[in-house]
Amino acid sequence: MLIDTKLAPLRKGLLEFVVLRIVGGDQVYVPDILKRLSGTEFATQEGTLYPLLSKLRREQLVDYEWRESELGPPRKYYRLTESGLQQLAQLDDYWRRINHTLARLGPVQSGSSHS
Amino acid sequence: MKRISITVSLNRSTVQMDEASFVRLESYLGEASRTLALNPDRQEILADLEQAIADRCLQRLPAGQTVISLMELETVLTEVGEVRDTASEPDGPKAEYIPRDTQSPRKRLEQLNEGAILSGICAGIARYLEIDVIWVRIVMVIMTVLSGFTAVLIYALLMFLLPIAPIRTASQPLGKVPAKLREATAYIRSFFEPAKT
Repeated sequence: MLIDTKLAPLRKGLLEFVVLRIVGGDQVYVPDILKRLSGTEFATQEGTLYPLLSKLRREQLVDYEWRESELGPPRKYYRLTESGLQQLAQLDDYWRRINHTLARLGPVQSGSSHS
Repeated sequence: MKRISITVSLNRSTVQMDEASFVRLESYLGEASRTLALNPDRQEILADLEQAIADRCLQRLPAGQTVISLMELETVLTEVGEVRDTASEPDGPKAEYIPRDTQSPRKRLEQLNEGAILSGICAGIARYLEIDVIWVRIVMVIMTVLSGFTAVLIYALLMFLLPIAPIRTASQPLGKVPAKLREATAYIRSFFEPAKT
């Protein structure tokens, strides 16, 4: 219980980073993103993802294009913009540094393979 | 009589649903619209959500059925999830709700329908007195026996007089009412709520 109240804000903060990573991999539409996230710690729903994507678009990190679909109305396919790519690289780098710092500072957790 | 189906236009698709689903969907989208009130992309997000709901409804439609029922719609809305505006609530919805409760500590005597057995009068009194609801219920039962049902009249009177608490202000979760008790009280409750079908 207590641990989850501490982890929830972490996950929430990382969701944007995770979404940038997925969108950076390939042009995707929202059900693809949800499917990639389902079963992970970052599983989310349209109700959260659409507002997040629109925020990323306002920040000019992602953009979308309409593509025709055989099954229904046209779909929005998201991709990273140039500044989105740059920011993703920065976030990746920062994440690596945090991991490094954590490894350097503290004792190794039980269950980790380092001990 | 057969239920009427309503043709609902959701962004670029149309979905047939029954009246109850239509009302439920209207309230979901209304809530979403309020959550996104300050979002500059509100219209677009709402259109995206409508499309997601339509897609999921059409996928979920059982073979041979053309009208979405409330049960299917509820499943779809659970999948789509409550709308959370990450842009305008930096610390998450929980962080927003908790201070709202503590900001208005003034106590009000209300009916707490959530988790109530009958109408939440006992729960409301319990919250007002800051004691466990079980004590109020015990006192209520004893009073009913001793007073020759005057207490029942008082309860009924309070049902009309006390305002009903909006669900979110119910700061004390009341726990689940046991199933047997719930069945019995549903019967009693039916006398008080003739309009409910």
